[in-house]
Amino acid sequence: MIYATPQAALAAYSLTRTPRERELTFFDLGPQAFSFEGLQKLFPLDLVSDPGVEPKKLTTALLPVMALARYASSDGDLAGLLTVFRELPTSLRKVFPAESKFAAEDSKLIADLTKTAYKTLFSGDGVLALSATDADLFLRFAGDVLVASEAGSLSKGALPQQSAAALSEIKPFLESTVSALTTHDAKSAHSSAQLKAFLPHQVTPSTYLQSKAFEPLISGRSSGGVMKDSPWVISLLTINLQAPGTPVRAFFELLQEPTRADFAVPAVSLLPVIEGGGNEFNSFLLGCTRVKVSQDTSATLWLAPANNMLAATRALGERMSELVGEKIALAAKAKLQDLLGDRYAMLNPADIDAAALERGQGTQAKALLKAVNSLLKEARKGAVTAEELFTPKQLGLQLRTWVPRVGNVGSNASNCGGGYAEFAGVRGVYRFPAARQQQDRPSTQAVRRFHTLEHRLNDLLKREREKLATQPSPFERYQSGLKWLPARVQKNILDGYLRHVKARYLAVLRDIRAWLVLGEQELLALDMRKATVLQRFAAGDQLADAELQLLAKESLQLLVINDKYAAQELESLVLHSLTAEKVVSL
Amino acid sequence: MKLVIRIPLVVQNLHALAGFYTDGPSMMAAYGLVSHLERDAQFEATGFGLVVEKYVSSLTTHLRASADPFHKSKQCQTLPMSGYRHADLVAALYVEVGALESDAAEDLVVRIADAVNASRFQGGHIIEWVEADSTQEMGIRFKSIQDELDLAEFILESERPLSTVYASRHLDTPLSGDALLDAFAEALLSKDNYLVCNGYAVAGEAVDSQGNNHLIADPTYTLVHGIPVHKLKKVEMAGQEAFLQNFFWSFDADAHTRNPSQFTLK
Repeated sequence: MIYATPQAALAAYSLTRTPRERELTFFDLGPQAFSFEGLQKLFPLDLVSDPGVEPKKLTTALLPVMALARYASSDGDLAGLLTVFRELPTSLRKVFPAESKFAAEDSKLIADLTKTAYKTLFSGDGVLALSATDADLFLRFAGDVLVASEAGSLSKGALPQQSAAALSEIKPFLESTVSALTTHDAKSAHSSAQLKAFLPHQVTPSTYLQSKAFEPLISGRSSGGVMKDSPWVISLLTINLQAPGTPVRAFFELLQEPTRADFAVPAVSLLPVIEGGGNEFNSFLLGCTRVKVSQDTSATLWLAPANNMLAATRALGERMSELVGEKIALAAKAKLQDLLGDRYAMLNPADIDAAALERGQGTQAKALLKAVNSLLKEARKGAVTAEELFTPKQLGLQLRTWVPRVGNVGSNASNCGGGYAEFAGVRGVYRFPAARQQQDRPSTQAVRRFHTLEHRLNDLLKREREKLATQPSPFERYQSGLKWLPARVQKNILDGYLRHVKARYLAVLRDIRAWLVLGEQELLALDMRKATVLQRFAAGDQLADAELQLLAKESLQLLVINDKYAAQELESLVLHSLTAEKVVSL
Repeated sequence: MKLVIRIPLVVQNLHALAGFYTDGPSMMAAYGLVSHLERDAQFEATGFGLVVEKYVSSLTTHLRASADPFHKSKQCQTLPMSGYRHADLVAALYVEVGALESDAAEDLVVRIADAVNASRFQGGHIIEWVEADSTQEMGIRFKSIQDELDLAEFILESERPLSTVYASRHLDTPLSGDALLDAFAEALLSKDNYLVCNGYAVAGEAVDSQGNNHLIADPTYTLVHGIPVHKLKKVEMAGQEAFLQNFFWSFDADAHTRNPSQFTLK
């Protein structure tokens, strides 16, 4: 540890940066950023006045860095690390005079060391705890230095061979980390790379439910495709900010802007979520809600999901579910105590809690019910049902037990950032009720139709079969000599017939679907978990391939030819049409 | 003495998820309508309240995105649908204005009726024609009120028993993190409480491919205590006062002054 407190480290860090340095970030350097000249602009040094060359100095300069990089765990360590990193070019140029052959390696070395530090910091469970100020410093620093490195071209050859003697102590460590980083680079070139960072100090208590009352959550993931010339840090963070200008620059600017002191971090946590294509904002791809705030149509306002709010609302929904479980468990315990009397002690309270969470549907609930009913039998009392024990309404509890989750509007999760995919997922965002829903009675006709779909299908198929039987079969057109036709022609005749049968079968399915009209109330009234394949198909659900195959098998009822090839071919034709037309309904 | 104006609203196809995390009317949308009326009918409102009679949303059914006929070979598939979740609403908007003479009030009501008929609510159409004649079913009514008891009387004579009065129920103390979530979860467990969007905080800007500027905002939510009108009838006077203390909502100017990017209702 170089500094006693993080504050001391930060103070030292700020001293090392001149106003000129603050202005000159790598963004202003353009192509020069990748060259030594660029670095020299970033770290202006008087190389002539201090020409001392001592290999020992290099070791002294590097060792604390490596030690810190290896053992950095707290904010204070990190601040110290940043300071040392910032001073590193100074130390290096003190060791190596302004010779160009070393200069090129300077930047390599810095890049390697930075990657090492980055890797160390992000190792473990992949979560970096940073204070807001530290995060700013770290990101700015990492951005500054990493752009100077050539992403993707990292290899063991990049290690400074000339100073091997001086670096002999840390060489194995450097080598191993570099190889680890090379692997990591390869990983982050694909869409699997994920990043999360928590900034724990920017929480403002609020009486409202809003994002600034929760820990800001930066989340990003590298987009697919091969990493080409994009800087390493951008590839890893892939925060595709929808703000004007260069993405990462906007990111830093947002962090720095004093007028947004309260909202800077929510903005940051929010913006990575809305990741469209390129730098442009495209509301159709995102889960935003448009709000009209004024007559001026040129300025529109979009309510967008912030990462931490997505996480918070999910937590809220889950917490409500837990609370319901707890309340049901309490009521169920009271009821069981009444029913069982002394025998209640034979039950395990934890089992009741677990069963209450399942609301009587799962295995634990069933096991408990069995135990309870056997105890009741011993006491010569009537059995209880799962509904009586675990349904809030039956227990006299006026609870909201269910909050709907609705998928993102006009989007799929892959269009949004990692935060959306992680916290909303395919099941969608929790939509908490803002009004009492009017419950209309489900249509009895629709529900009846739903339960008689199999009969309907059989009726329609029977009718089709009769129709097909009245039409001349393609083979009947040839009274004799069919088998003398070439095999190719025979197959063509058969295939044509099979396509016709397939079309008839699909028409039947279409009729079935049109026949069943399910509204909101009916869908709520029906238990879709117990629905058959046909019922789910008719209700517009997306079916798995195996289920579609079952549906395709039904088409054989229309086939009047007893032929193995024809049966297989018809089935595959139907399956192909059903699969090709399968669409994702959000 | 204040004048309270009751504007009946029958809205079709409003955006059910306008509050993003909520399914139902958004208080911010109600405020939007009120400020629209303020501008068009030239008056100044000191507060507004909402009473919801009926709300039916369709979260699982979608609107069809296109009316085009489908190709013969594509008729088997699920129809393309828009992600827009629609809902219908029957409600009444209560607007509180300063004391007015009866003639002036009648003039104002005429102007308000014109303005309401030309506006929308939460993206939906106001489908029933609102009239200035208070004797009509869709007529705008007004009453001078002294206190909450007068207001209760006005609500009881105008609303149906199953309608819900939206009274704000903000948390008493500022909380953060898990404590905040626990407080909201505990409150939302009761079927009488709802989560409503009560504003937003501007978080950033974005530019689209046409070069238009878009403000990106972060929605803010608070709790509403939904009081059924029949319950309001049953409680004694003290209960009515307690219930209706938080009936009127207004723009939280203090919060906006403290933080210019925050626009909330209290």
